[in-house]
Amino acid sequence: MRMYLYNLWSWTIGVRHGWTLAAFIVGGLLLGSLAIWLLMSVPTRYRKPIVIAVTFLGGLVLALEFFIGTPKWHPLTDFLPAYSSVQMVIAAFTLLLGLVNLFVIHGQSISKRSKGWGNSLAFFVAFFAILVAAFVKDYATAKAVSGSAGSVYAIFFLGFLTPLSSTMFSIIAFYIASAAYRAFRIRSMESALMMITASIIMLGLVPAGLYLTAWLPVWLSWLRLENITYWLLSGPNMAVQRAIAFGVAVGALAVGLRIWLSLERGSFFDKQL
Amino acid sequence: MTEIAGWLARNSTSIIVWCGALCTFAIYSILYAENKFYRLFEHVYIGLASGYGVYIAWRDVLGPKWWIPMRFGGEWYWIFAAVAGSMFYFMYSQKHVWISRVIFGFFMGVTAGGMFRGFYEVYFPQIGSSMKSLAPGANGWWDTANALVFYVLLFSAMTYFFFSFEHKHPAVAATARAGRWFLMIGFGAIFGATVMGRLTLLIGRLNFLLNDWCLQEVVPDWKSIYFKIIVGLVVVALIGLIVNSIARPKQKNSTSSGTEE
Amino acid sequence: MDLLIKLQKIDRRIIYALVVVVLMLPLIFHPAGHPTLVTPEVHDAFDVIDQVPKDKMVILSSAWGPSTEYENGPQTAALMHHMLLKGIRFGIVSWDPQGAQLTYNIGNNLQTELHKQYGVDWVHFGYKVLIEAALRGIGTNLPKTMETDMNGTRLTDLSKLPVMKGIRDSRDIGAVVEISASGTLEGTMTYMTQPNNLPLLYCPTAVMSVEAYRYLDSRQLKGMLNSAVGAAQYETLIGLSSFTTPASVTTWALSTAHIFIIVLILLGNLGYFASKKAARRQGGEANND
Repeated sequence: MRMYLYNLWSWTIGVRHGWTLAAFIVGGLLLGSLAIWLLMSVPTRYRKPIVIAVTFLGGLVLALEFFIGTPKWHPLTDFLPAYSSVQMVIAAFTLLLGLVNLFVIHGQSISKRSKGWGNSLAFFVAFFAILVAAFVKDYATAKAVSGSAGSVYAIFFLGFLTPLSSTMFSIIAFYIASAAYRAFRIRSMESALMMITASIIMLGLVPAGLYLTAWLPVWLSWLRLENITYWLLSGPNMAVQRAIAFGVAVGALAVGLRIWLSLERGSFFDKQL
Repeated sequence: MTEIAGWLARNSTSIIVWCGALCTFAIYSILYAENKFYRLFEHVYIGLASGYGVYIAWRDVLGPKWWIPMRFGGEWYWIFAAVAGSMFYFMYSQKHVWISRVIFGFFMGVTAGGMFRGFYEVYFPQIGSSMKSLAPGANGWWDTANALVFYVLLFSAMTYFFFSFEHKHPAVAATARAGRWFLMIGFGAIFGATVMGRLTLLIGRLNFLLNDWCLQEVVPDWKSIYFKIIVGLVVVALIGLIVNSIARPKQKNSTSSGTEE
Repeated sequence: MDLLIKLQKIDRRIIYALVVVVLMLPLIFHPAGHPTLVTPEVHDAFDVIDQVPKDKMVILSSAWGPSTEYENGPQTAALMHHMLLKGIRFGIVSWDPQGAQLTYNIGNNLQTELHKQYGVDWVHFGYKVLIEAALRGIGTNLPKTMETDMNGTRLTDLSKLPVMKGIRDSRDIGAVVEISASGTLEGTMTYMTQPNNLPLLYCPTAVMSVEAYRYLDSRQLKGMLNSAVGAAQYETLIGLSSFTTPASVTTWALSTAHIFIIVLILLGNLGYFASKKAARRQGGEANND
């Protein structure tokens, strides 16, 4: 019986080719669709237990992998590459999740000709332009076509996407400068301490700080900005960051346990599904 | 087609730099005031990022790990991954949204299940290295002093974060107050580092504008009369915009930061 | 005093313009020198890479994109430069879709400069999702977890990727470098370096570097490059101190920038105190009236 089951299993997951492959893929799709249809038919009172069970089972593999095993015998660790590959592929299917929302919002903006619909059109043009250029670059057989598409793709990526992304984040520097002048007010000794620490570290990390205190003699070298900066970062700052981290770690462990066991309240956890 | 490919290949570097400069000015224009130029490029950015995300997810994940093994490797069972992946999209269905909870719950469970190892691997060594010796080390009594400073700061900062009991006892209250002070050192360090990090990003963009665009593209092109005409027209247009905005009666507009000046 | 109070109401756009002017000056007149001071954590990072055996591979785990290009880019370039010079094999995996192309371009440019070859001296595994899932698999079976490189070549095809010869699991990895703009360090530590006892180097943005000192203290991190400043120090160690690089230019520009920010904070607070004093004086005069 065991042999029979093993042979059946080997036959089922065996590699297929040609029309058999197509048949098995279609069969798998039908089987999956049947499973989804069954899920859609599940009565309301069984939905939450199913979610709880799947959540628990999803984490059980990793929890057991940690607790079970010796340096010589670790069956679940060997299973991890396959488990990880499956997760990576399933997670990759979320690529269209945010896109659906974007398409709906901008599509509605264009169809209703609402204010700024030209920008929504620009969104679609940009989306399809880089997508088409990238796929033509990879899949076109004619060298001239793939070459042109490659150059166009490079222009979109290096000429538009990368600078736009970099520039968006670099704007924060202006706001920091503005906030430093207009909002950072030393109203207490604590904020003064924070400001002094920040100033020492800002100066100690750059060449200007080195030059400011380079004149100090060797017996006073511990007062040089770079040495004070290093001591502040690796001493008091390290202690404080560790204290914060311990607090965060205990909290994260508690929250993680509650999520794994579906004991967490809020969001959909205590709502009827 | 070959000529186009050749022309693009020869000039793509130049085009990339000019487009980069255009994008940079478009985004920085928000610093002056809200404008359509910025909004257009903002939408272009979102479109490009979304399109690129789709392409790269196919090229580096779905293609080699799913489609090729299934279609060409004969591993037909990967179709079930697509079925599982399709469950995410039930979040758009009002009636069957709970099906998306199943797959989201699976991934949340995976993350939560990994926390045991995470806590052990990340924080146990931290706890161990917090037991610092008070004996003089390689640097003599300086090591002892540092260890004492470490203990004082660690325990006072941790006491500040104990919210499960009231800080009524004078010793506890004083320790927590001291912890608050010492936390300012950490926050000051974070502020200083944040300033450094953000300014680095700006320096990078300005370096691009100056060295890559201005010196490599604008200055050599300045020899061309057509270039001078285009630059002249752009400068005139900008002056016209500035004069127009000054001459127009002042209106209450929301600024880029959304705060009133 | 009146001037300080008047300056409180200055248009923010003038501050923005001043920021640009202050940062442009060192970029225009930039000194070519690299920093002479190298911090201990950068030294340690250099030693770790320098001592990686030739039969092992260094894994660069890159979790950055264009938004932090000018902090993490120089770090990536400095490390790649060192490894290519020393003939140390390395593989780079990116957890950011745009970062994958950027890191590939850095490697491409360096290999041309140093006469090295893709597939022989280094490999790019491309963009992968779910960093923790992938890291779990890498330590057990790297080729099976990563499957292909950035160009779609299977990692088991040693005729096209001889760099992967003998690289299978954590025993064949000499060091792991986490070049990150987000909180991926704990994941790498948990699933990759701590269980497999691999040395871990960290190349964070400046914002995240402050929190990493606790890991340096516990030796979970063997070294660190702090933003572009750390990259400039690393370039000093690998013999690039006489060259002008983006990292060295940034370090000098940061000097003026930081001084400017400190001056702004001081001026702002002086103006604030002046306004408060003036308001108190006016209040006192009103009471007297």
